[in-house]
Amino acid sequence: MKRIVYFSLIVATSLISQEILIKNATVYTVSKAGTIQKGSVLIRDGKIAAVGKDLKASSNAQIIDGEGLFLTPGIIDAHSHLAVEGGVNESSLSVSSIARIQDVINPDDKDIYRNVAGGLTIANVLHGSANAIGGQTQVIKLRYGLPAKDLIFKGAPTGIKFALGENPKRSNVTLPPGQPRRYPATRMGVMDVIRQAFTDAKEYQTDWDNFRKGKTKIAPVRNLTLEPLVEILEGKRLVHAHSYREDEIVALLRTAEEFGFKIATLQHILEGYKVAPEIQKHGAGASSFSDWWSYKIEAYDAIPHNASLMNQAGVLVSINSDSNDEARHLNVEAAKSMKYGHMSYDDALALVTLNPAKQLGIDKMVGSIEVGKDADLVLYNHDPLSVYAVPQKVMIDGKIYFDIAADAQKNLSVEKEKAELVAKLKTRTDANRPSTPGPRPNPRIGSDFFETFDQEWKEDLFCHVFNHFDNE
Amino acid sequence: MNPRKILVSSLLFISWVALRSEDPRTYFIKNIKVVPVSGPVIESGSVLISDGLILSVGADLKAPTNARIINGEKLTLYPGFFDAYNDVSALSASSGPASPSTGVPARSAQVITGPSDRPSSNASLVLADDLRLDEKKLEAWRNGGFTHMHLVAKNGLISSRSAVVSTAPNYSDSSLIKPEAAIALGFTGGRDFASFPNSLMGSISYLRQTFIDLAYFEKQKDAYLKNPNGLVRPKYDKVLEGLASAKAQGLPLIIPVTTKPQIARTIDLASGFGFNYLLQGVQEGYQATDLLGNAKIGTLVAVKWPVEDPNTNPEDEPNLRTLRFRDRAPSTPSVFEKAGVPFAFSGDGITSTKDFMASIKLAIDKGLSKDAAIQSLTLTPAKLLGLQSVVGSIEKGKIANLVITDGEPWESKTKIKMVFIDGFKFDIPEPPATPERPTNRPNAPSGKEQS
Repeated sequence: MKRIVYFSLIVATSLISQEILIKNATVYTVSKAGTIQKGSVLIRDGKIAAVGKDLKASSNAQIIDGEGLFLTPGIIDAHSHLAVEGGVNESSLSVSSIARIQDVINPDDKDIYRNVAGGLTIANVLHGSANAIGGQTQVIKLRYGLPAKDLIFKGAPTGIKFALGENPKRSNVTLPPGQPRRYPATRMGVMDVIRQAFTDAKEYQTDWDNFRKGKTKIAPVRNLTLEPLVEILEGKRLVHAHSYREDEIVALLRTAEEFGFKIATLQHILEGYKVAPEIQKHGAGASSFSDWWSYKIEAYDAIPHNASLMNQAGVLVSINSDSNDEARHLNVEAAKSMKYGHMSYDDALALVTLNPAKQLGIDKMVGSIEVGKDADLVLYNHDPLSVYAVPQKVMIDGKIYFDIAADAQKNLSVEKEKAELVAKLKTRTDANRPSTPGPRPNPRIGSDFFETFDQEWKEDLFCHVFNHFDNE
Repeated sequence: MNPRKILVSSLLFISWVALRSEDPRTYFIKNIKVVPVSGPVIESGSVLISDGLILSVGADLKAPTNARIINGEKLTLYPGFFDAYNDVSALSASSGPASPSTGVPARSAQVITGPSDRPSSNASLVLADDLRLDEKKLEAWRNGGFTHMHLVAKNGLISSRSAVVSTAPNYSDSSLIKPEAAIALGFTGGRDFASFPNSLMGSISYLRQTFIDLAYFEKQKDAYLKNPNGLVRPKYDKVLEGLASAKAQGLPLIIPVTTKPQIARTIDLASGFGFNYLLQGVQEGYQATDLLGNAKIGTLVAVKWPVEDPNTNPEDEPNLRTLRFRDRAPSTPSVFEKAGVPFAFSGDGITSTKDFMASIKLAIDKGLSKDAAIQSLTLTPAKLLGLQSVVGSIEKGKIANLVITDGEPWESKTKIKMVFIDGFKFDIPEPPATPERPTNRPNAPSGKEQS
């Protein structure tokens, strides 16, 4: 309970006053309204109520003076691995659509707060890339301090992870002795796995249809692996496909078209510039890195102009973090497209705000500063696309979740409490310490079952083999 | 438990009784402070036990002529202590339970292709069938006042059916109070890259699918048994058979949790299982009464409170959350008492009864009432595990599992004087003098944590 005491003071003020007025800031709306110098944004009940110049608020409104500051929509990360407990990869099966990120969101993960401090307000939390068809993804709002269920962005379409290439095929991985090699081992095998899975899903869909139409008397048993695939076929679930090479990208688009569904986003997509027209024609979005490449064999043909070239070809492009902490400077990552490929300022800012919102199907609610949208806002001290930009205040649904001044205060109180607790715990009667170690020594926090999840072997395997990119 | 098992164990029991027929097993304990737990304390009362059961309890009973008289002046009589959940290794002989021998070679390990292969699932096994207990360990727990224990084999995502055993010597099937008590779940599945499930979310999804399959299987089997003609026979699935049998007996699931997010997630998950369930561990329960209080979910609170891991790198400064957790975890029982969350004490990971009692003492120091402490050590575990009519309190008709002490059990100077198990008396030898435990933990050298 006291965990949220940090925020209570800040949050309480915003709860009491229904209205907040941010004034005199340079407002980047990422909408038709463009940039408003000395602009104001009025927030009422967590939503943006008005945007313009010289707005008036009610007498009890909280006023935030934005003099000399820069206001942008909250940053959105279309590919995050934030706040996941117990591993981001259910790597065992080639089709692991049964696994759900929403089951393992850890609202206590302090990375959430660290990312908010970097201006991030929304993250599309993805399953890892070890499988052709991976687990179900979850869009969260970074409402740090609230329980997991309240982090989930209600109204955001559900999603799923696909992965192509080296990670699901794993043929270049040296396995520990005695471990069987999992099918598939080639890119064509990956496509076969996807095709087979959707063939199974169609059959399952037919079984249910027949039952619902009364053609069969006994309901089929629910299959949690195939259910999400049926949702994809029905256009209800977004596919986020990890992909690198032009050939696998086109192969996936064709396979999807064969089964009559769309790929929502191609993730990483470092060779996307080679097949941008094909991507545009299919209607898939592209979520890429700014200038990271050559970390593995399928990432050699990458160029930093990728985002810009795809953007020019009419593809909806975003820049993502693929991590639990890189999103703290996603604004700077977006700015790199201005240097490489001469992207316009507005287009660059959209790479981490409106575009990912569109890719995630949440652009009606977030992604720009427009009337009616959620008040997810970042107030920077410098131009948001500058390396000097540091968020001063970050707001989600009109509540301040990060305030740089309050943060400094908070750090002092944390240090104080820590020192007090260390002293107190030393005086605690030590009688409870078992004289002999139990069968499993209790880890620092977490129950035996949850916490002894042996992350080590995974990290070993992944870090060394995939250079940190197995999360992708 | 199947009827044959009941018959066999009662026969064994009877023969055991017969062998000891020179012992009348009729005891009259008088002038003793009786803490029945189910009712008010009797400052000077008597209890009559015979043939392993409690015959009468009261302030002014008369001793029958054939009874052995025990004068309990200045002593206190409690129901035998009950560890609500401990790893089977707390009592088992070194190698733990043997694998069942069926006389045919075991199937070779199969590659798991999905949930239907039922990875790490042992609901078809009954731990009691293979228990080999260590007499020294039994004696140690008995001497500490624990007359019965709930033993769990944590052998997978779905464990074998657990057992409640008494701590009587010469362990045999007659020591089983409940040969099938509960089914523990876990979240640690495969450990290598190709073993499903090898992530927490995979384990959760696996369990969700399995309990969906169970509900379907039960319906399907029910229909088939009524009229198999014209129906496709249901596929034999030993894990689902095991779960169905456990469900039919009303056995609870026991699910390990620690943090508040884990508690929230587990309540959400388990509510769809169609079973009664208990939460075990629950050490962050002090801040989760909003989740547990109204739902009245039974908890088995692990009393091995978190401390600094002696193997920690001294330069690893614990974060605030970890420090708060270490500080507040022992307040969980008192917080639960105030919020009305049912809780029993689980000694999970504890191997010494002294440590168990010291942990309870710490919870009392944090505000737990002594009444609630004794409840959680006796009657509550009995209630949560469906044994309230046979153990847990000093009441007529219950099993004569009793403890006689010279004080409150959690006080370090208190001695356990005598223990009764199934009406057999065990005198507790004076423990050899042990050197005082140092007050400063050797693993927490002063000053280091503040750096």
